[in-house]
Amino acid sequence: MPELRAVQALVSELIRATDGVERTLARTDTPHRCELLDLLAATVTSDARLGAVKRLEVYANAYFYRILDCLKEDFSVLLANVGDARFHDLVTAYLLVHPSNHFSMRYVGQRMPQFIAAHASMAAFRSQFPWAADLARLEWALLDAFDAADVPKATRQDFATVDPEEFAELQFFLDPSVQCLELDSRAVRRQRAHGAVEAEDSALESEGGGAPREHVLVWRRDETVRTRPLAPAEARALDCVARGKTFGEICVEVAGLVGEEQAASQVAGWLAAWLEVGCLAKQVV
Amino acid sequence: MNPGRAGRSPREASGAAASDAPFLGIGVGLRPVHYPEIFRRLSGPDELGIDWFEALSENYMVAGGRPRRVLSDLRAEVPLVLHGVSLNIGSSDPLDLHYVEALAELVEHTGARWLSDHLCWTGVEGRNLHDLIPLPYTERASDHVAERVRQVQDLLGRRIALENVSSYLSYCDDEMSEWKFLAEVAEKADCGILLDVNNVYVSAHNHGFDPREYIAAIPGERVFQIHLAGHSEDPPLLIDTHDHPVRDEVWDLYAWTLEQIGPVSTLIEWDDHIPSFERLCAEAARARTVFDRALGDRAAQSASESKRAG
Ligand SMILES: [Fe+2]
Repeated sequence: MPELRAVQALVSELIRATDGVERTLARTDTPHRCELLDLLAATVTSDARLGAVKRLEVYANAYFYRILDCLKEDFSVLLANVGDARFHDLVTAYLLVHPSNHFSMRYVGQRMPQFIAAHASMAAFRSQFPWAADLARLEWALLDAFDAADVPKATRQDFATVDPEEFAELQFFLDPSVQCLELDSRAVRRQRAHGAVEAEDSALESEGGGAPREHVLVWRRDETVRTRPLAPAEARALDCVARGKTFGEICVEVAGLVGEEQAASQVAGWLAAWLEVGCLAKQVV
Repeated sequence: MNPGRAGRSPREASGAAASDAPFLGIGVGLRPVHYPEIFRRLSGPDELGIDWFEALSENYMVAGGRPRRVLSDLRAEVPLVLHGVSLNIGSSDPLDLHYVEALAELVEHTGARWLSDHLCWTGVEGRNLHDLIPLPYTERASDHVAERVRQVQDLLGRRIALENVSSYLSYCDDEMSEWKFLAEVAEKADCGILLDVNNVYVSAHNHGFDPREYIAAIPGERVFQIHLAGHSEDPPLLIDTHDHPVRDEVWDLYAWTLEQIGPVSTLIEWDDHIPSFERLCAEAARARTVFDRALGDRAAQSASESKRAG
């Protein structure tokens, strides 16, 4: 019998074969087909009731369907919008390129948005569903917000004692669940139609008018993942916070979007709103 | 000791080997769909209906949010045990020390009474199959696994329990039976055993051995815990699907197991087509009935012995 490593490599390869064990071994263009067949015959028992191939197939099916089920949950809106058959093909193609390399299935779909957006094999899918990659990004962001780290939230009290003179130098910290995404509006609308995004009013262009984009804020409060649309200027300000900019620097960055006179009060207003809904964390000491 | 929420009085198991595993009574697998009902029962006059929970480790190896909070809330109310699927103890890959670290942190977070994983491998060459693949039952494989179990136990500073898996394949060069392999690994590694009675039943059918011969060979003093679950049929195989009530044949085997090894903490697993918490509690109640009937006076006797000892 081959060494444990060789046994496991063989079993792992066959379980992960895209077409299933039987079809992969039957296909004459399968690389090293004869060696695989010999190795399998020397490794896995066949008996009168069931051959080695069929026994291995049980694991191959379980492998694919277990991950498919997990990704169906993680990307439920994408699934609903592209349909079962296309989603099935998507997962097949995805696993071929990105087999799970994390101990938890929680992360098996981590590279799905990027895969849809950029992988060569996805070109036809992309032209049929140009918003799919962004929809996957949004759904993944919701997952990340769900189990992001808990840190103490900033409160009004934390800023009550700040000397107005020092305010320009003040830095702010985002809660780990906070994400600001710029997405294809059609992806956002599909998510919203599915009921997962709060149905807040935002100007959504018709599907015919190119691919308008919008910003979405994702965060968690009281164990519930929330989202809301962000105007471009607010998104810019939030991005400044993420990059560790001070109040004064943020005002300078958004001045071009909201006007110089408005900048300070506008930024203060956003900060107050973020504070209110739990988007800001206490300073990490 | 914390009395069980269902009103039973748990006892510490006697015997040095299993001393890491107190007797907790009858528990069920903790599933998110049941959180609202569990917390409703815990905060009101209703009985919880079970004695303890087993949490799936990987589901809680996340940074924060509800999963983590639920465990910290529950640990104050009811005993918790951790059950993992990704230790990959039988792999020829190096041990995943990040995983073991995360596990140690989770043990701390939950106050887990003990922790378990499976006697199998789940991936190789850095790829995770997210499934429990059996090992070749050879002397070399048992050395390999036992060595790694010792390493994990050293890192965690406590014994772990290894569970027998349901399997659908076996290897040409198996040198011994699965039960001999399990007993041998447990002996060499000085670890506990999580005896899944349904898995014994399923594998016995799939490989054509006698489930009672298997269980009779298990060192009872090492058994931390028993699993019960439902399986389904996919002729000529039985598949361990955890989507049904426990089958009558498995209840019989459970009763017989208890007669052989005495009282052991028992847990109902139900992972697909998950029923209401009430229905799950009914399944746990059935386990309690079988347990009491199988052990008769022995359960009460060992309970009072443990009281004198404590
Ligand atoms: Fe089990």
